[in-house]
Amino acid sequence: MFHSILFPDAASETEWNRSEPECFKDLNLDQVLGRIAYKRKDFGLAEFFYTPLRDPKAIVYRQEIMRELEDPALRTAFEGFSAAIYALKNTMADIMDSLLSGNRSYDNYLTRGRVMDCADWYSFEVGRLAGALRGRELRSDGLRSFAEYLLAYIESESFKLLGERVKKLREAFSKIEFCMFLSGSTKGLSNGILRVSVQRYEGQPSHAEELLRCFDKFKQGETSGYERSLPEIPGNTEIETRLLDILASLFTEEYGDLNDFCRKHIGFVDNILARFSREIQFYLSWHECVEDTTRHGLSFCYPTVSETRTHVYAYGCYDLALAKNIESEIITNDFEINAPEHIIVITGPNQGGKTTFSRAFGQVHYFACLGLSVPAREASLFIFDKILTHHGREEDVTQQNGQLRDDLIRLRDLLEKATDKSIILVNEILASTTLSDAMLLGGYMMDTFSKLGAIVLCVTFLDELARHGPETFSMAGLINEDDPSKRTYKIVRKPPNGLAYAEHIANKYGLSYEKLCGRIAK
Amino acid sequence: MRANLMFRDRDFNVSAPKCFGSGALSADLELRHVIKKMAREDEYVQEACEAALFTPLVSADEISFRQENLRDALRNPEHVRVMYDILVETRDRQKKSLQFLSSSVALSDSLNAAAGLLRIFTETLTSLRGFAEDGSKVFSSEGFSALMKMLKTELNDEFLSQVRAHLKELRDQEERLISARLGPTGCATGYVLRRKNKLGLFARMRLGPSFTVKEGDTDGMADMDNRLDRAIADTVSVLSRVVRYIEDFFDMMRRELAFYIGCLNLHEYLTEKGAPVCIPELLPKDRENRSWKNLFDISLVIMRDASVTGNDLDASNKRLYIITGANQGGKSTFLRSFGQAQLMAQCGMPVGAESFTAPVRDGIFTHFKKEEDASMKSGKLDEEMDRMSQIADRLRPGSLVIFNESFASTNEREGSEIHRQISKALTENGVEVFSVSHLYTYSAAFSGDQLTQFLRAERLDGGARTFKVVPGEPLETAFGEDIYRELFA
Repeated sequence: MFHSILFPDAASETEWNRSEPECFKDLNLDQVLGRIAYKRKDFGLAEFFYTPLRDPKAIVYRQEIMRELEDPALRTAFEGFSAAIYALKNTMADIMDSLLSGNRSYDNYLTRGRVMDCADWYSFEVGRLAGALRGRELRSDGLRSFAEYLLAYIESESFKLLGERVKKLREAFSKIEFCMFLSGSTKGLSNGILRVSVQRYEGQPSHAEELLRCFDKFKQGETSGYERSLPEIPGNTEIETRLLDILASLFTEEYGDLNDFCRKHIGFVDNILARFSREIQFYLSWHECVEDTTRHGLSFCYPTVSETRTHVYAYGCYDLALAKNIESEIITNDFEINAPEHIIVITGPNQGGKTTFSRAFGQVHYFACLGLSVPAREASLFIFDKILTHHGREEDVTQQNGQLRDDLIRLRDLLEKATDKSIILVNEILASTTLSDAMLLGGYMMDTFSKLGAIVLCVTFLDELARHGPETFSMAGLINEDDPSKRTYKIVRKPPNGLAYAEHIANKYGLSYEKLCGRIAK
Repeated sequence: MRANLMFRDRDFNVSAPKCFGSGALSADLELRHVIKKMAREDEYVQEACEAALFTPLVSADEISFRQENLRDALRNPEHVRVMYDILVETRDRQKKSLQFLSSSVALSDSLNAAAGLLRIFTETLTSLRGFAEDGSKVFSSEGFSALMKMLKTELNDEFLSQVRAHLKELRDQEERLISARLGPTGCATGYVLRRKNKLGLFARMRLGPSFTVKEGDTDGMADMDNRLDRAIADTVSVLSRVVRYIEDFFDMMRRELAFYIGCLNLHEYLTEKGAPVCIPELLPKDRENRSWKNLFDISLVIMRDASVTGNDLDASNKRLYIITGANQGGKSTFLRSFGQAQLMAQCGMPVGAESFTAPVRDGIFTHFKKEEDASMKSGKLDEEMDRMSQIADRLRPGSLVIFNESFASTNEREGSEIHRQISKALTENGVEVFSVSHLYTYSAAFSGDQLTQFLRAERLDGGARTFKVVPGEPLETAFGEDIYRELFA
């Protein structure tokens, strides 16, 4: 029996995180996921994105659904269904309150008319989705099981009856046409009384149409006249109710049928479909984001996920927030962690893409554990318990501590939360002290990391940290040999560049030792 | 309902894209003086004449259609003007009412305003019908005859009485009949104003169920007002569209007539100044004969407000015309008179000459030396070449290019060579070229060429200039010295 499109079964269902995880801002996830959730904020998607999964089975369940929804036709079908059913669920809740209020201002033919409209819309949307899914081979467990549920539902007696009755009602109501003869003036003339007589319509010709027929021959071409149209604003409830009451007396059969319909079919929205209409948005919203990005030639993939970190890698990964914000070409990077390695140390020039790399590293893991596709060409990723970040932050002036102290306090807090299943991202943590201090503290920090066994990505200016031991390996910014002043934003597995970059720059401007000597000598 | 005075089978579109280089044509040929004189401050006439001038015709048949209508108009100028005046008068009256149709005005007021406007238009339509009864007796051209016939048929008695019935019913605001249906949610919607002309309606309406809204019930009144407005909205839209249709119809009539009014104005003016005017004779595109008598620059007549000397020409099988000779000897004036006549002829206008016979040209382009431009210290030749290149993009066999002192912004040798190569390329590919040039090396290069006609600003033996351009080979020196002597002697 179908349960939820987000979880394979009740057992794997987790509590939603109501607030964003701490790493959200440092990884610029607010710019990606926050924006996605905001774009469809009626559905309240944020909590879905705040809650990474730990169960590989649940992750694969979602990945399969996500992959199946790469078919745009399928997505279109679900988009329409989701928007409609979700809105209907909310509207019908309001209508039920009105009809049960016992107050004629709410419980009247206006409200009952809306029940008919909603029921019609509901039957149509459910039927339409069933039509789109019928006979379709669905590969993912989630969508297949949903489709089975839906196809059984539309064959149910109650749903069929709903459809038949609503169709009959609609037909009858669409034939109702009436005339109002207004005598007196709405402007308060004629003794101030406006008399409105109501009768069935008897084929009186439209004044506008006759005018148009009479003058059509003058038409010289398409023309924009002063077109006047008034928005269909809801009428005054009092007047509309009086008018509908008269119509109920002129068209007794139609309105009698409407009353009966409301009594019998008011709770027509199915709970499981209603839940689905919201949850499917998780996939649809992500695909919208993916589509928008892949248009610029960037790839996404479905990573394999693992609870061990023997071989963790991603090829061609990139920072999705950056890709969404800038138009120019996005540089992608690779990483590969082979046990016993679990610590990456990244060195290289400033503005060389180190922080971006670190974000991309965190993002692919976060997306993977949500069961989403990830911004990379190919990946195998680690199921983490938490992602802990320590990025250079604005100094908190309310604290009397210096920055080093502040940094170390935060490092300590971070380590208290960390386990061997965590992913830790630290960025230029020791920049505010002397080199010897930094090397000493850095060494301690690395010792702790290697003992902890968590996956760590450490961005630093200290080349020494990159040679800490067998758990550590080094990555560094690639230098453009032709013009070292140009950034490559490419981070590759290699020893720290050391002075190579400085030498390139010096040569280019003729300021290296030999050149400068040569220039001074004459 | 079409007037079709400009084209036998289609409307005259005054906002059609102008031909390439229309700005240059206008400036180089001093056309704004001509247009102004045609318009006599009537914006419709100005618009129509401009539009016609800058979309010259290529089909001899289309041109002769206009020429025939023009002859008819010249025979019956008063009739053409009376018809035009009926239309102008209506425009002046309608201006006041139009603002009541804008969406900031209450719908019921808009309805009254639109009905009022329709009443004014109905009067005009009635006048036009009356006019057509007379007009059909005097006009004989294809265009004007068809127009008279159309007016008589379309504006017949039955139509006019239908219109009056509509106007009467629109005026009654005390009793309105509207209909509605039920929308998807069961609310009344789709309000339509209905005609009340069904028998027994009132009795049955009084007997049926009803409700009343009392004066104190402001919400209720406002609501009913809104429903009535929704019913009226469609009628107001249609009425405003109908008004616009008729307005467009009048506009169309005015535009089609305006061209002939402009021609009448110009003809009257030139005749008054004693300058000759003729309806030109056009030859097929592949002919290379030109002849004219007393061809003059209309803009010069207008500026001097007096007739001026004209030129004669009789050339056959020529493709390149090189005009040389003294400064201020009338070369530019000559070029303008020719350009004006060629362009005006191809629009079906009269031209300033005793006679003018010319082949139809597929594209008329001017490439005149630009006056000194302070903003461009260097790059003058670049600019000239760029302009030429744009023209070249649009040339076809049978086109005409008129050069005036072109490519002289570099030295004589370079300029001559550029100009020579261009002229040679153009003429060998069927493009006709007129060029006023000081570049002696250039003109000498075509000496003896069968397809080249040399013309020269005439200079009498004593050095006096006649402002006539006559056949003659180029002389190596210009006559700047003459002018110097004249001014500083």
